[in-house]
Amino acid sequence: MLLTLALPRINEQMTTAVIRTIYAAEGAAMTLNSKFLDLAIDLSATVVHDCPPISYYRIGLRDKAWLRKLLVAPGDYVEPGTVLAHFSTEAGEALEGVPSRAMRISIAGILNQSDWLG
Amino acid sequence: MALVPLRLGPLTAKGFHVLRSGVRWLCRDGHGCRPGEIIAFCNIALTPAARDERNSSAAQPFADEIRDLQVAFAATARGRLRKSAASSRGGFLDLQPDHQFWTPDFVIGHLETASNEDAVTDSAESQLQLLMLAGRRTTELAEVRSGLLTGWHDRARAWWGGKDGERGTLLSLGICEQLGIIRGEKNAFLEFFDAAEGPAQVLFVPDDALVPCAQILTQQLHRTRADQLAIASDFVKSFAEGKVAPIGKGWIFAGALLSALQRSPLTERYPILTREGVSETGPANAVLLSLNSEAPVILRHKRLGYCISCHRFRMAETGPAVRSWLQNNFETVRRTIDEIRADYCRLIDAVRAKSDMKFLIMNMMSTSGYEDVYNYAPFDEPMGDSLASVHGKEMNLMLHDLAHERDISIVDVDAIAAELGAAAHLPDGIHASGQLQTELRSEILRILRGLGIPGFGPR
Repeated sequence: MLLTLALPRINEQMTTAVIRTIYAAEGAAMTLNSKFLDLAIDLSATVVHDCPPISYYRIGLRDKAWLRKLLVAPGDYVEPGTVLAHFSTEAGEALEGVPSRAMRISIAGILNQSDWLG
Repeated sequence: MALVPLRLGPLTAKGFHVLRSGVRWLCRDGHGCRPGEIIAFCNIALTPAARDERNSSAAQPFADEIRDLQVAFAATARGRLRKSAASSRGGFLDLQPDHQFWTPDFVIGHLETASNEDAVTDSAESQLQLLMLAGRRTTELAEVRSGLLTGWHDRARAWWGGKDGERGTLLSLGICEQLGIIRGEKNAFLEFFDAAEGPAQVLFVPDDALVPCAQILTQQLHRTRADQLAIASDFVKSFAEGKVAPIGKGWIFAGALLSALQRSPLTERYPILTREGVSETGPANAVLLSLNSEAPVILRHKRLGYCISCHRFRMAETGPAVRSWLQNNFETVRRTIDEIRADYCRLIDAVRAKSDMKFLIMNMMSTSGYEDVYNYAPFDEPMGDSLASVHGKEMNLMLHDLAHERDISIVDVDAIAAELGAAAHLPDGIHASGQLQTELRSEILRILRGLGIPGFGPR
């Protein structure tokens, strides 16, 4: 069964998210409740201003599946609804055809993990 | 209909002349005024009355604030405003405070009231209420005289100039979340004074260069003149000998940071000008801190040992020289929540060894409507190091422990925001809507009244 993961609208006011870290590579077997990627949402992304309201989130997976195609990389700006990855429940399953359903995910706010002096 | 004159009333300072600019109006002619509403303002200055003292800066009680010293006028009755043509001459004459003497009988306008007496009324209502405002510029270059308390100030404050009774002072010393709560939509403390009755003083110290976390505030308390000189000397040496030459904004950031490191907001005293004259007050009766100031990581100077905490977006904008200075001269210090609690204890103990200052601390938003965590497996232990909601809850719990240990008051942002709806009123967990700021202002005033801090009574 093919599964697809599109960026949900995590915040009503968001316009884009920035992919910061991806925890898996194409071909990886993703276990139930594995972490998939971290992203940042900057509510001031369209207009630079002081003390930018940036929030950080982690997307975890609630399906056991194989990561077949990764469509984003760290640093990419993506809009809500953008497809981030394709999964399949079987390792060698053909990727042709319409995905059966969306990947089940969980979303959690996280602290900024980047190096302070980086 | 009666006409109530809006008279300046007395404003004196022994040994000084009080001078003022023309009046700048904040509302149009015909505006319906309510009692306590700020309707106009002017800039003022104190100049020594004796000619031989004119060049003596030591005699100037507002030496640090003299260029942004203002008086705002509040109506004392309900009525329709009629401006006096003599109140304003426009241009620089309304900006510079050295064109006319403050004369108690000067009438800036009138209020048309609903009284049946068809005559000019002259009573206690005709003397304007004075809200005094003072800004200490971060640099004298930051001359912005476009309005009430405009400009770049490392300390801004306001107090009533005519209310009798014991004065209470609140010092706001947090991150940007406090800005709208304390300084309000018009940035001049108007909403705060509109919500409180009494001879209060309110101060706001921004976090532009230095974020006021507990450890840094404690270091500021204990820093000696020799320590300050060592830090300043290191700044000069580091930037002069650095591989990357600072650009203008790098120098400005470094200057603002150095200036902040050389001050101690918790021990400052303040000159106060009222209708009766100049007096001095301080340190503050109460300080408002932000738990959000306590970042998990701060920076410590490798050689001198002092700490700094700066917003990352500020550091990113300072240019390569400052970044290089930070990278080469500082080390990161990751703090546990217990260590942050210990920092708070040291700060509170040090302050209370010298005064009875009350501590109010705004807690953190600890939930998010945007989350749907079903399982905590994607998060490494300890989860407080990675999950924002767990971190927030642990920090808030620490604050409850601190409240028991050190008798501090918690401003429960977490509960108030959740009740109003955080998605709409606190979308990023820090920056609040106007409605939430109003609720938090009310809560802070309720706490101040409960603590018996004078000057913040209900209207």
